[in-house]
This record gives sequence, C-alpha cells and structure tokens, in this order.
Amino acid sequence: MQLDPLIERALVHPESLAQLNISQWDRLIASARRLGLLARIQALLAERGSLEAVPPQPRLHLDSARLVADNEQRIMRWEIGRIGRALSDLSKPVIFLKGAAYLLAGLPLARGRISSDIDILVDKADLAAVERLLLEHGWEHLKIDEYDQYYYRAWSHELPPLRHRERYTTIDVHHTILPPTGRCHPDPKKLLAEAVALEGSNYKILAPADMVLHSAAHAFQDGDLVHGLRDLVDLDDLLRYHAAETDFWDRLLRRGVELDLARPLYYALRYSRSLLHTPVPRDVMEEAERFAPVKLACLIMDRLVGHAVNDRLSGAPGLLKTVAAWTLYMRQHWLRMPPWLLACHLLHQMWRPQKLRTRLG
Amino acid sequence: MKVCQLGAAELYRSLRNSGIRIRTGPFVCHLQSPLPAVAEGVETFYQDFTCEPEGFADFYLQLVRPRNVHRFWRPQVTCYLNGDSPFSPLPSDQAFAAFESLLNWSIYKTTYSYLIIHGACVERNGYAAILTAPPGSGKSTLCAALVSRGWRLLTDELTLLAPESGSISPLARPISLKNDAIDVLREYAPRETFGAKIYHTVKGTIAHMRPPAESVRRMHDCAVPGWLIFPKYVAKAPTKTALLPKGQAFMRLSSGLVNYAVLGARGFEALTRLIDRANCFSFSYSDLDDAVAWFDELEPPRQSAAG
Amino acid sequence: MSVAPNLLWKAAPLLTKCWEDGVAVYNLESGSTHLLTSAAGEILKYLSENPAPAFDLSIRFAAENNLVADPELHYNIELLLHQLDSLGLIEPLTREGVSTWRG
Repeated sequence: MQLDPLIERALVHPESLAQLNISQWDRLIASARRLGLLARIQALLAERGSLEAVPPQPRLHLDSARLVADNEQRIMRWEIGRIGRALSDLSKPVIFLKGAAYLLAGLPLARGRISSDIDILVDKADLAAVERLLLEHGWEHLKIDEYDQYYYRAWSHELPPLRHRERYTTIDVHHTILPPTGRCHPDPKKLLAEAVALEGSNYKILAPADMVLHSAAHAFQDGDLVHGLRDLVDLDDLLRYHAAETDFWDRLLRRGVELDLARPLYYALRYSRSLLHTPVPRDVMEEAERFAPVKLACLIMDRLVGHAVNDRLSGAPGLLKTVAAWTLYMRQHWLRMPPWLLACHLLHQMWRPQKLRTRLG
Repeated sequence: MKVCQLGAAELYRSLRNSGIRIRTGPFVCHLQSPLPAVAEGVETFYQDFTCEPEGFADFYLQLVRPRNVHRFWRPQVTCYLNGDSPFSPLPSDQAFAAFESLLNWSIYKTTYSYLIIHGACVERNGYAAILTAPPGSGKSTLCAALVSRGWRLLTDELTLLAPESGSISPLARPISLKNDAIDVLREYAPRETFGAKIYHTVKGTIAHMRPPAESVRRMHDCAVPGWLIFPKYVAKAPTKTALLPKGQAFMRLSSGLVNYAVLGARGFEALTRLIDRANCFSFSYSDLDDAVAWFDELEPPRQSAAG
Repeated sequence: MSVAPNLLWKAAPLLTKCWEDGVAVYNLESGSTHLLTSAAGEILKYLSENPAPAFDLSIRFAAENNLVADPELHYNIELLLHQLDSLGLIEPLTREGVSTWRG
C-alpha cells in the first residue's frame, strides 16, 4: 500500500519538485487532477516560495486549479455570512463543520482546498427552528421524493439538503455527525458542549480533537473513500497543525473512546502515518492499536485504501479497481445501516426511476 | 513538424496507438483515437498545425469505440478528457465534431488564465473584432465570411482574453458552420476547404471550414481588441448597426462569458477595460458582402481617457 | 417597507466602473456583478466613503443633484437602500458600528 511516487513527493516534499523534468510534470499534473489535489499542490509550492521554479505549462494548470479553489473559498465565506444573518435570531449554538470550520479558523489546510457545500451541526431540538429560518431566508428543499424525505428525517444524521433559490448554494444541517442507524454513536451533546467559539463572532467550531475525529469518521466510517487521498490530506494537515498543542494526542485518544470513534481514529492514524508520514508519536500509535480490527480486516482495508488513494490510469478503471470501489461503497452502507434496513434501502434504490438522483448514494 | 508532413499512414498509425500532440495557440492537446472519422478530420483541418514531440500536454483526449454492443451495432464514439467521460456517447459518424466539442470543453473546464468569451474573433491591421451573441445568431457564418475575405482567424468559438494585458490569444482552429450557413458559405467562399456535412448533431447539421494556413502560422501573434460586435442574422433584412452605450454592451457581453465568476475581481477589471477600449456595436445582417464591407470600413478605436 | 431611521448603512468592498448609461459594480465579498443606475451608483459611492443613515444620504443626494429633499425623495432613497441590501451590496450596522450579524 503505497502512494504513487510523484504524488507522494508533491505532498510530502514539494520543494523537491523543482527537479522534475517536463514529462514528469505531465504525469504529475494528470494524476493530481484526477485525485483533486492540483490546488493543494499549488498552495504547498506557493507557501514554500517554489512556484517560480515550475515550468510555465504545468504552472498554468496549478494556478488555474488554485483560482477555482480560492473562488470556492470566497463563495463559502460569503455563504457563512448569509447563514449567520439568517440564523441571527436563533439564540442557540450553531457549529460549522469541515471546510467552513477550517476557513473560519484560518487553518492552513483551508488553502487550496476544494469545498462545496456548507455543513452545520445543531442540537436536534433546534432542527425545526433552523429549518424554518433558512426557508424564510431563501433556502428551499431540493426536489427529492417522499422516500428520500422519509430516509433523511427518520434514519439520517442530517436534514434533507437545502439549496438557496438564488445562489444555488447548498447547506446540510446535521443533528449528529454520523447516521443514528450506524454502528458508531458519537454523542452530539458532547460535541456541542466542547465546541469552541470564534473570537468576535457567534460562530462555533468543533474542538481540535473532535475536528480530527469528525474528519476520521467522515473518511472511514461514513464515506466510501471516493476522495480517499483528499480526505487523508485533510487529516494529515489537521494532525500536524494540532500536534504542537499540549496534551493533544492524549486528548485525541481519550476523546476517540468517549465518542465511540476509536476505530475510524485508528484507521486515520494508520493511513496518514504510513502514506503521508504524519508524525504520529510511536507511543500514540501503539496505544491506538487497541482500536484496530482483526488482522484480516486490516489487511483487506489496506488493499482497499491502497486502491482508493491512487489514481487510475486513463480510460476505464481495471477490474481490481472497480471491485475495490464497489466494496468500499457496500462497506459505507453496511456501516450506516443495520442489515434489514440496508436490504430495504438497496432494493428501493435499484427500482427507483433513474432521473431521481439524490445524494444518498 | 506539421501534421501534413507526417504523412497519412503515419498520422493514422500514431492516432491509433500512442496518439499525437497538436499545438493550438497556448495549448498542447494529446489526441488518441482509432476512429477513421477523427483521423480524416485531423488530416484535413489540422494539416497546418504543429505536432509537438513528447513532453507536456495540457489535455488528454481520447475518442474510442465503446465496450458494448455499440462497438459494432449503431456504432458510437465515447469521448474521454483526462480519463473522464464528460459527454454521453455519440453516433460514430459525428466523431470529428465530437473531437471539436471535446477540445472546446477541455479549454473551458481547465483554463482560468484567460477570461473566455463565447464567440468568434477575427483581426485586421492589428485590431481584433470579437463577435459574441447567443447560439444561432450567425457568429460563425460571419466569421467564416470575414476570414475568406482576408481577415485573420483568431478563433471561431472561444475568445481567450488575457486578464492583465487585455490581449487576445488565438487558437486558429476550424470554423464550425451550421445548417443553411453551410451552403451559403460554400457558395460565398468556393476557394475555402469545407468538410462533408455531419447530420443529426445536437446543433443540427454541421460542416467545418479549414482555417487559412496564414492564420494557423500566426497562432502565436496576439491581438489588441478593437471592436466588440453583437451580430444577429436576420433573413432578407438590410445591414443595420448601432453604436452601443458602454453599460448596455457590458450587460450583453456578460451573458457570453464562460469562466468569469472564477476570475473574480481580475475578471471584472478585464471586462470593464475591454468595454472601455473597444467600440461596441449591435449588428444585424443578411447579405455577406454588405456585412464584410461594413467590417472593412471599421475605424480603429480612439484611445479612451483612463477610468 | 420601513427601515429604522437611525440604522447606519455600510457598503461592501466594491469595484466600480461608471459609464454614461450606468455603473458596473463588483462585490469583492460575494463575487456578484451588477449594472446599476447612476443614482444607485452615487449612493454606493457615499456609503463606500462613510457609513451613513438613510436620512443623511438623501440630504446629500438632494444637494449634489439640485433636488428638494422632500418625503418622496426620502422614501425613494429608503427603497433603494432596501434593494441594495437585498443584492448584498450594503449591510446595516448597529449604532455602535458593528454588523448586525457577526461573522
């Protein structure tokens, strides 16, 4: 299980890219584009003052990708303001998650990151009020059928997605970070209790350890790793950023157990360390081994992650890659729902009209 | 080395196997396809274009037969850009038109170094006329007519405006004519090279006109915008033109922009500078001789005061 | 429609370009682009210099354009401010000069 050497070089030692010849740049740009990491690599090079050494042709693509990412960040920043304004009468905490949180906190990982939707977390008791306020301020429900409405409200960790009628931006309103039907049950009240208020604003974000755990859960408990390497890059960044804080690693391990997210934390530490050389202290990794699955499951996961983080060659994917992607897709659903519910859901998905595309997967 | 210097057999063989790299303006496009329609199209319409050796390609385009029944029965072509398939499969006789669309798409989707205006652009005496209007307005028809009467072709579909300098970078690719315009241009410009008609595309019937060798030779000569024209073909109507107030021109141009939002403040400044610098006209026509004569008499814009 | 009379309005950071038939405006925060009337452009220009309440704006507008600052003008200016607010080009501040929504 290993990253493509050029991609590894770009992410872990970007200053060494100055030595690439033009054919290597050709391969790197193609791979990075497919992995959704062009903007990220541009940001890494820019931070190290290494952009000038990039030849003009690949530079055009790096800069273009960065422009797109910066534009997404601008849209997100504006959208956060509009959401804040819409919810200003709500005297309850609203926690911004993922990309919006990274942006608000000014984390380095926000640069060069492609973020699209905004995710917020509120107490379940406040869901109705939040939904009402958003609808009053121009958001509307995406056109989804009754089954999807029911699925979201009965089984999911979020409201059906809301889209602003003029701006076409989407907001996902969560009441917990993983589906209640799933196999892990992080207590949202604990997340809300530890959330950190940002200076000079009413916005909150998750505490550092919780932010890492949420990212790990998103990648390894609720996702199919279709953007596997991007998820790992986020995790690597978060871990490096917070590593210097006193007692961070202890808190992370403790919190992982407390929030029932120890298994995804294990995977996060294992793969970011081995693929991106995240400096996870050895004793922390040893401690995290307690949360590992049985050896066979680990080996299988290693293979699946290996496929997920590597770019496929041009054209249609090979058989192994297809099988790996399908396995991860099934795993995602298996982890989200008990078997009886999964069977019903998949049967329904098979029979629904093709044109009704939703984000349920 | 130019495409025409490769020789037909070598061209077809390269396209079928490792592919070829064609330079169009600032970009290098790597194309691979076993389909004869693609090879014929490249041989005819890109004959004066340069083939680049191994190195960097901005886009990787593949046009191949699908791996299903449509490989043989009602044959289709599947298009890939950098490994992804952005379009549904098309009938294989539309393969060259599909290549042109795919290359346009490639430029739209990956390039934010230029402000892209949807429209044609031609140049004379150092000044460029940008022709922009909704689809079906007759931009390509007018573009082809002007090119056949000595205007340099910069582009038929995508006008690339450098945001800081305001200059236009040519692509010099084939002109795509639609429906009735095909026969009109064949009669108006019998010395130009036209491809066979391609039927039942989403835009109707299409045929391509080869870009003049001189326009291709000068594909690296950028041009300064002189005029922004909003053309409209109105059957049997006399040529009618009006100088547009700048605000109105700005609004009309904004609906022809492709990647403006991402460019942000730079895009706004590039746009307002263009409107300031160029003389803006609405232009309706039906007679090509009349239309060309009007263009030939266009005065270069006077230098406007700053701000 | 009514706006609290002492509400201070502030313009978003903007780029503008004036022509004889309108003012092109780019909102650096939202990324939106608009073509506004000269009157709207003028009000935005005042607010870009200093936050101000509607009443002060209409007095200034009247003075600069040789108009009478009557109730009809005040009403029209308030209407215009409401429209500019809905476009995201201006925002209301509290009397202490802080945005009414913080972010």
